Amino acid sequence: MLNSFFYLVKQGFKNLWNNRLMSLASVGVLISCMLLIGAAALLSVNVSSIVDAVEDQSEAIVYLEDGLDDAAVEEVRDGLIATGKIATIEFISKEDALLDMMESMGDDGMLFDAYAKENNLPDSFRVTFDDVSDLENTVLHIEALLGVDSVSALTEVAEVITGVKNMAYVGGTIIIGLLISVSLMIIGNTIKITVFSRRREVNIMKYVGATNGFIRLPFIVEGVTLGVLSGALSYGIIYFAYDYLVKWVSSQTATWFGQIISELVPFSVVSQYLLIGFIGGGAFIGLFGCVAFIGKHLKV
Amino acid sequence: MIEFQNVTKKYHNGTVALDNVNLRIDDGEFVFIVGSSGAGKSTLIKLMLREETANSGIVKVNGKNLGKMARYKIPKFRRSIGIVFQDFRLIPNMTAYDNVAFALRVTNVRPKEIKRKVPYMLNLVGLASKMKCKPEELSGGEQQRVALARALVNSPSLIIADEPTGNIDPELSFEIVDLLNEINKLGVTIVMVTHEHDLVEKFNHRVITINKGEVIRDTKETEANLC
Repeated sequence: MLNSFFYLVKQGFKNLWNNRLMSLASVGVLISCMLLIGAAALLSVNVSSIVDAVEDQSEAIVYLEDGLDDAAVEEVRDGLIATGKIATIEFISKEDALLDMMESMGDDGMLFDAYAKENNLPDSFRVTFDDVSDLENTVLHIEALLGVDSVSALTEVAEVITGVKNMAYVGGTIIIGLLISVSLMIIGNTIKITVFSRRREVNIMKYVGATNGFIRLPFIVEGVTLGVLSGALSYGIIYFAYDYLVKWVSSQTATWFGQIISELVPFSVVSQYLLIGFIGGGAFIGLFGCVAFIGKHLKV
Repeated sequence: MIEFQNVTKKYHNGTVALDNVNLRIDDGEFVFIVGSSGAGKSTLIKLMLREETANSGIVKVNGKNLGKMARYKIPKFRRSIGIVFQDFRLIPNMTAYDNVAFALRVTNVRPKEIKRKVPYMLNLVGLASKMKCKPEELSGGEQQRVALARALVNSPSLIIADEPTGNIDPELSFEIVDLLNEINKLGVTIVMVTHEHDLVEKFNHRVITINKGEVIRDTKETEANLC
């Protein structure tokens, strides 16, 4: 039994070479499909990452009513935290607010020296959000807190960010889904052609008394090898291409474009998913493609 | 032994390939099956190999009712039969040695045994010097001898040859049938489909003639009637 197994595995590798033209075509098709899917996945992940970075920058200023004591300020802080949407929170006293304003105005800031004793600026909290998808309601909720005078937040910008984020997620999922479907069809046809070109060989084996398993095993070895090889090569190509892209982007940081995409996800973050996806997907397609398409020719 | 009892085979397109065929081939016989194209010869062979099943009637080969045989038992059944085809049906990317050895490998024979049996068989058919040649490097006659070696290597009790001389010249055809004749003398049953009347006449064996799906002549029955 073991003799047969090793013979069949060896036969599978031999067949790879004997049918090298078809093997090459299969690897080419698999790599093309995997690169398209990988590129789409990386694009989607990066768009999400950039949108997340922009989201992290969005902040709101919560102005407090005049004359609140420390306990009331702490109550507002607790109320803000209780919304469950706050990422960071920073208290800015009216004195700090005036200093900030004076600093931001440079030399002209001295004009405000006269107001230092009679500071009309309110105490406030500067907050950033975990999630801006429902910012309008969050702002309404905060405005209703006892001790809060008003809230300044760019709710329209948040809506745009949320829209882009949803579009990136849904669009990315649809594009990747379509690419996977098209790839499966192309790969399926390639395997069909490969098996069809060798149907006579399969037919002869059946007449000699070979079992279905005996005929299938070398095909499976071939299919899985081609799948894994294609996965590994695709991973390598994506790795070098992405690395080149990241280096190019980092050299462009002086431009607005560079700043926007300086949030590119490092390859190490997605590498394991890509590796598992490519090699696992390749092996899976090779295995099940062979088993599914060879069956038709085994009914002799 | 091969036995056909009231066998009818009708294809999906409505063609009746065999119509109520009855015949019996005993162990150790050499039988020629003759008939024009489309007479039903190939269907007869396909039924014997369990490539097709009869619509009605019983087909028995080596004591097994093929109509009731489960699909998973077919490979084992075919290993007990040697099959030779008109177009040789050798695996193109395997050498002559590997083609013959393949028939042993499917039966899980030990490598040592394969190394002993394959050269012996190829030597028997006169191809000891061409073991490493691939089918494309061999002539038609040589390819058919490789196919014959493959058919013989499992020591079958029955050899079915479907027009084995159809693709080779007359001289070599005679050699192939002579080889089958020698194998038959060892007790192996031979069923050979052919449309070459010269060969049939040269070898004095039983002849079954099929026409339009019916057995119209069987020399064995004719001889029995004469007695």
